[in-house]
Amino acid sequence: MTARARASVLITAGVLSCSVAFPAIAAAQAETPAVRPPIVEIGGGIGWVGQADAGTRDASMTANALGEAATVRFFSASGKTRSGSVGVGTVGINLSSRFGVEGGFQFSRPSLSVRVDQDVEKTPAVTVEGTSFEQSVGEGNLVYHFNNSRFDNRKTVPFVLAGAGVLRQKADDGTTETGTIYQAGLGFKWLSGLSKTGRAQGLGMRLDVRYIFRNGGFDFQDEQYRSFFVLTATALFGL
Amino acid sequence: MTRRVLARVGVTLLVFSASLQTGEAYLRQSSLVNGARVSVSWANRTIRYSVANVAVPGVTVDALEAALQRASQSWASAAGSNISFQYEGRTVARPLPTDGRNTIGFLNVPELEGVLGVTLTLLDVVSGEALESDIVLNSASEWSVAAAGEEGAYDVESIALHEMGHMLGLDHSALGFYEVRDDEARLAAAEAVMFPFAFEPGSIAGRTLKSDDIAGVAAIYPEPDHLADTGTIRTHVRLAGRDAFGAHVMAFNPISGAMVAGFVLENGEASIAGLSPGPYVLRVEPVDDDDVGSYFDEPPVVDLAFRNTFVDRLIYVQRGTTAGPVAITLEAK
Repeated sequence: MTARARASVLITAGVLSCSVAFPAIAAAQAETPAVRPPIVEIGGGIGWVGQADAGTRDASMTANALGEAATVRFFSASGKTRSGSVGVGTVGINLSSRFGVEGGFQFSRPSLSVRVDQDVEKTPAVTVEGTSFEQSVGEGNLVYHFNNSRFDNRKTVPFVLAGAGVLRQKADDGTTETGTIYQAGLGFKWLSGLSKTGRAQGLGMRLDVRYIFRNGGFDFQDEQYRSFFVLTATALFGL
Repeated sequence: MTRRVLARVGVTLLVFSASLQTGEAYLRQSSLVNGARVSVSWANRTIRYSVANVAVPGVTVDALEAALQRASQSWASAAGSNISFQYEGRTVARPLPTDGRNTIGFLNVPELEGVLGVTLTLLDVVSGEALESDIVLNSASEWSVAAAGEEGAYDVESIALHEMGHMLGLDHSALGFYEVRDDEARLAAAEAVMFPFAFEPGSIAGRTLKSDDIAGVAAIYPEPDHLADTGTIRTHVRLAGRDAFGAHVMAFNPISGAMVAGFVLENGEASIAGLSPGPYVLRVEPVDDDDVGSYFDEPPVVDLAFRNTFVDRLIYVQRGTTAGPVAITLEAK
């Protein structure tokens, strides 16, 4: 045979091999039920909460002007809550192979930082650092699993979540502020085991990133929404 | 200078012979007795006053009475304080000591050019107890009681509110600043009724007490729970290796927007009381060298030659406690 004829034979053999292999997989899938999330998920972990704007408050004085009461900026203070670590915990119940609900909490100790500038008497601007404070979030989320898009031997499932919660911040001075949060996020859940009925179970891990809108809490302006990211890695246990 | 003085400082007469300064302890009038500061206050928390039966153009005695009652009610309503006024009617007496009666009214004092009002307080300088206090509204100026103010005339209620602050024992606040226009300095803004210079004629902005005024009166006449509900910031201010004197320390809460201030006294300390719990930014500045006399009589040496500065950390005030002393080192000019 010439070299060309040999290549043709090899390609044909390859095609034949494939036609044999695919039916084998199809047969195996027909025998094993589709993988579903566990009924209950319990998780706990750590993460990183991003920096958030805390608004701007001018130190204002009453202007020496007639008519409508006007103010003059004496200096300006702009706040940020610094990024830091966060602890998280979740308990979830999966209502179907796709939908689940979960409740959770986040606890972190960010610090408040204030940039003071635009002083009318040209006092040099500074960034004033504060001590950290407690930030707790209680949340409820609706979770959607992309169950048909499992990978890693069907042990890993991507998901998205959306939910809301309450925020409580407590400073060392004893002052507390509360607020609401709204969040949306996405991530992956990986569970090591699989029950005979096709439910993912056992130990695993969850990674997610959330974008959170906060209204309330320590803020220099009232009724303002602030946003920040939270990244978490959670040890997961599925039942 | 186009600034109009509300009162140079509550002019104080002495009952006993002792040296007296109307310097600052917080924002309070005080005297130095044997090296210790004695603050002025009334023993009886209901202050009785009469109104001199003198009208001026644009202001009847009836209107004066009404304006004074509004001003006195503003002080009586100040959060955290427990003080009230009781009106005892008109009198033919002039608003001057020493008739044993607190009298408020108009008096023509043209020699006090530019002075709108003066508070004269008779006190026991040893105990600090106020015995009599009279308020002169200088009828050499134009006055008005118009609800929205009247162009070219000073608002009676605003000026009376300031002078009643002196009557209660408050001294001047330095929460304000000036601007230069056409080579003339004028008041740009203020955030305390007890600032020593008045707003423009026609303005009624001085009718409302500010955080600084309220903290000051509550420090003198606190409600029973006030000290437990609020906190204090104490600072120790140094300049060129020694205690500074006379520096103005402002505490600003960026969450509430409240601004309260005090002065550094002989021991290098400024104590700012009556603060709501929360974080505070501290700012230190010298008083305007033109205005030293508005804050300190016979000043020892008021430190003026240093740069304004913000303290580089937030100070947290807790209920019922004192934060500090916060050490502040000023940079000499």
